[in-house]
Amino acid sequence: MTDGDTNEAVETERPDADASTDGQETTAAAALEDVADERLAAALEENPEAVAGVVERLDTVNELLDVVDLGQDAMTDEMVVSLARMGANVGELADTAADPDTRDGLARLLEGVGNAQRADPEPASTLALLRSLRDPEVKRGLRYLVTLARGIGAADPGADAD
Amino acid sequence: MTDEIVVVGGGTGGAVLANDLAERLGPEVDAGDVRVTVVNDGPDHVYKPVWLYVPFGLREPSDGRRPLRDLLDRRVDLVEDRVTEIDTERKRLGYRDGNGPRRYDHLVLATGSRLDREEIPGLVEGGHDYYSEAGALALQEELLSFTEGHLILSVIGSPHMCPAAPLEFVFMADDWFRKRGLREDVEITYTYPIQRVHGNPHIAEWAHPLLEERDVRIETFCNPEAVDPDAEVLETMEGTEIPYDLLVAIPPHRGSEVVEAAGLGDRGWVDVDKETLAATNAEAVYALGDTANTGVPKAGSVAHYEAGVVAQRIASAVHGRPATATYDGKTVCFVETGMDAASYVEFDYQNPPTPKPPSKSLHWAKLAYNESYWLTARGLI
Repeated sequence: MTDGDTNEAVETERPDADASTDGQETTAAAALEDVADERLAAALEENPEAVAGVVERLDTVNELLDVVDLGQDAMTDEMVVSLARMGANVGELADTAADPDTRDGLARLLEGVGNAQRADPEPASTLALLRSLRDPEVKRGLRYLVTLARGIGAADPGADAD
Repeated sequence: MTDEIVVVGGGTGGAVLANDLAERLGPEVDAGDVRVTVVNDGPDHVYKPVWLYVPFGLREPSDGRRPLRDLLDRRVDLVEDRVTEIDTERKRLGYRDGNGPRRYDHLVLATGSRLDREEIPGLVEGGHDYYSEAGALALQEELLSFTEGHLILSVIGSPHMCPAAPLEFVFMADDWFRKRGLREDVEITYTYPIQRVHGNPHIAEWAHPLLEERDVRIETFCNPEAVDPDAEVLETMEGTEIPYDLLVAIPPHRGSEVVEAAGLGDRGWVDVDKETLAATNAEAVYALGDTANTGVPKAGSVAHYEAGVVAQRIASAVHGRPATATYDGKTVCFVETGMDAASYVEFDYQNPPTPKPPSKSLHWAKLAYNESYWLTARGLI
């Protein structure tokens, strides 16, 4: 993890816009600076309030850049790979779930779980189970579960091995 | 009659194309008016960029392998077979096991590259590569125990897959040995067949000083014609003999034999109009990715962008409209410049590449993209 010293070092290393030149610049660099000066002067003339607004918020920008630095200092290759892999896995799941039929089926299952959670627990004796089979809602639910079992079987990548 | 779209090859180009077509032509496929079939000569889709990291022990080949069926839209038919004959006059196909559609209305060749190591005598016995799963694993075994001597990275075949990979390997090897305190005992030489260090002059101009900074010996105009595995010497057409302790070669590449036999192009690369990607020697035939002879790099990003163009053109044809989509040569390549820094280039037919300054962020972007690749194959990004 980053410690205070590292943060300090990063801050002192950040280029200072006001730093004076040391006389070692090439002609090309000087020309670029002239262009930048001209653009800054033009922006100041055209919209001084907006430029002042940006300058006033530079502290916030620098704070955000410190957060980026912190992220870069704290992360490792393995963490990047792991995060990206998780993101990709979630993306693939979302792709599968985005199929309209799959989406509707998942919504139905989730709604069923919510309904069960809100309802009183059913008695689970053999007689009570047999009686519940006459309930039209249970019948519809069981029909769906049998169809679901068939669908899961059809989607099994190892089906040919059976 | 059902419109038959047959895609030969289930690599990056073939998978992205088939998924794109399933999306564009979904209602027609569901109604039975159109069928999209991918013919692949194995069950798996392979993401080859993972192989660059295998020799350094950072990845395994299995990280780049997934069942192709899992990546394809359910509306795409997958046939595991090998196309052995293409009759472009009668629009008919022949197969090793006879499993695929006999005729086609639209054919897309995405058969990719294959290595032809035998073209250079002694290369099979004397050289290593990271352009195949077996090659990358064999090189891993050599490299992990290599602590001193002369390592040569020799670009023999051109064009080859991923033009950045030879430079990447050298930059990574330099950094890897340096970090382990072995660089002074390992001499590294980079050879390239023409007068500069890369086919693209802009990339060559950028990479040359980087190689020099890293104390990598550069041999340009170097065309190996044989390897003497016993003497451990690389023999070149130019008459030089370069001794090595570990030879890492980019072997000669070829396209599919069936493409050559069908008269669609030399060495298995299909001659195409570089903007429409339509074969120049046949009707209703497209090629993309490594297979298409466009002059742009044989890279995954190219196959990806080309797939979108071909999908649009075929969908236009199915709908009876004029096809207007064209490929502009867009290519994006990350370039690892060490073990923890990378650059990238973006260019097209009109605009040359300008490599970005190497940074850790770009290195992470490359790692993150490699992990997210499966979303690309599914046609999501």
